Amino acid sequence: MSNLTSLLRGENNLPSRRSMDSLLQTNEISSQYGLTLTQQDVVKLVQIRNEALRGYGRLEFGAGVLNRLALAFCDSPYVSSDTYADILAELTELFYQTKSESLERMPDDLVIDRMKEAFNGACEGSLKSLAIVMDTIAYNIRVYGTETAPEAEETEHTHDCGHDHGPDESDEESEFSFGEGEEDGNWRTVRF
Amino acid sequence: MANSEILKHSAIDPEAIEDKQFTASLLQEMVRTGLADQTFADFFQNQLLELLNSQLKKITNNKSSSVPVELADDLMDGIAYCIDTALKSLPTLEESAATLHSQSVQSLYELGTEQLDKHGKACVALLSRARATRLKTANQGYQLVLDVTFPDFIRSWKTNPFPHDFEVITEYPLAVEPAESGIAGVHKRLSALALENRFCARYPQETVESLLGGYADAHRVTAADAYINLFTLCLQNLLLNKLLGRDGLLLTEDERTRLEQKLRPLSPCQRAELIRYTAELFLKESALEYPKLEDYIRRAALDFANLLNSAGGTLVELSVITPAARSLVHTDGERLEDDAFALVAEEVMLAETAKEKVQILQSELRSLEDLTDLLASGSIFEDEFEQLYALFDPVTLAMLLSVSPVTLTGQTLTIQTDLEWQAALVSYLNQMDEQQKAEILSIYHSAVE
Repeated sequence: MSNLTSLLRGENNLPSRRSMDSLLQTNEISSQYGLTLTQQDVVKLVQIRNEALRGYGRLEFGAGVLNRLALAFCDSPYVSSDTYADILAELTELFYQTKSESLERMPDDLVIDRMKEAFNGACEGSLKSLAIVMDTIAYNIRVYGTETAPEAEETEHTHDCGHDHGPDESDEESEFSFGEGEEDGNWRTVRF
Repeated sequence: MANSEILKHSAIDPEAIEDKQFTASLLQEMVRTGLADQTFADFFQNQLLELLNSQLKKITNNKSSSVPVELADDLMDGIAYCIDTALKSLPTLEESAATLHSQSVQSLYELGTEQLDKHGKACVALLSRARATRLKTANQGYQLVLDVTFPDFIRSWKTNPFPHDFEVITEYPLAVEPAESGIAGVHKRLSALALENRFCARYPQETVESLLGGYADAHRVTAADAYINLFTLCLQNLLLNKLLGRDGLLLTEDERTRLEQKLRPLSPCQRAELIRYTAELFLKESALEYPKLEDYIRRAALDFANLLNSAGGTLVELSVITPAARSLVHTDGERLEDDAFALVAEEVMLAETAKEKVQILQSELRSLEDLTDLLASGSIFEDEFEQLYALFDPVTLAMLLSVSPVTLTGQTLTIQTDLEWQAALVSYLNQMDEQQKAEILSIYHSAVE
């Protein structure tokens, strides 16, 4: 590995100042919904972003995603001025988790759209439910290449994601309906 | 005052420059020696990150704002590879440092990419040439590198969106292995292979294959699987033949022994000089008129000399004995039951001609032991043995010889035996013409249990 790569190991992936300014600018829109981020909130969010990037082994470039998340969720009926910063923090972490676990197959906009749809829809503002939904989407993309499992399959979720999907325990055999297979974090191998 | 400029910058220490981290180590040296300051280093870093960002956007089709660190690492390695290539192409470190200081990262990257693309294009032409001049050899490693390995390297190079360094590992060793990696390494290896093909094409294909066969036999592998360079086999035997005062590639065991007796007492310097002189003599006589090939032969001869010195003048691992002794592994067939054997023996005894007798033996017997028992059974009369042996193939004669207590002195066989068929066999073989006898003896020598 080139020593030039050590340049990538700096504290942040994007200059923090730029990220913070960009995030503060979203207040112009979010304030219409009664939501604003303080300087303290913004500092905390950028820190959480950096930690999440480190945790998921990611490098951020370009415009970053924090401000896009803020703009996407500021009009949510389930976000209040008390919860805005905390929800954004959770969403940030969930965003990077989904990007990694879908093996880079979901563009940023798609991830944000799905998060917003689910959060405002079926999840009714529950971050826990949203995590399950996004985890399922990421799993389906890893295993089936699509966001939803093939219709012929039951929607038993048999993967180990750390979430409780329901009363049924995961069943190893139904996990691979087209044949036996195995899966690690990156690859799914199916034997017919 | 005039001298302060000289004193300001100390020279770049070549020892501090790492080949695989050329740009990074050069930048460090530049900062250490005052040729660049931290401001420049920061500026350089920012340009690198900009270039990286642009590549990441391209790779993600502008649809992602983050990527796994491993991907970014790979791309940064590729950027460093290209910039290293551009800077290493300059004649001195000082010029490299000046160029690093004066050119933008983008232009250095493009310069490096351009140089690497030239290697890539050259590889396509060289591969075609190497294939067109390929040796007809059973060696699979050789064929594989031409048909699979090098084409894969080139294909992978062409399809990768950004240039990358990579290890060049192949199934066929070269006489002089280049140290370069990446597409430049592929270029060098293909050039070397084309030179080796050109050299080996000067000799009959059967002779080259014979050397390969001899090597394979000596190392208990097949010619297809042998991991050996054909050019090396040819050159080493050629140089040894030259030491014997002749041209050609073939070498017998006796000749090798004689050479060892001459080489062992020499000092390493003397051996090295002898090989060097012999190589120059060959080059002068052969008038190759191809400087690249001549240089390649010189380098390979130098390697040979070093190996010869390491072996103390012993040639066992540095030569091939020919003709190749083919290993023969005999697995005896099913033996006849006593009653069946007796019937066959009677049938053979009653057959009127040698030809009929041989036909019965060939159709009824599957075991060498049965054959030797039958030859000793009295079914064949004394004056019939010679006629019989004349109709046996060389392998059968060699197998019969292998179970006889013969002594070989030079090319003459002697035996002390009570068995008529063995005495007759030895007598028959001693009367044979030299070439036929040599063939049978060759098989006899290679017969293994």
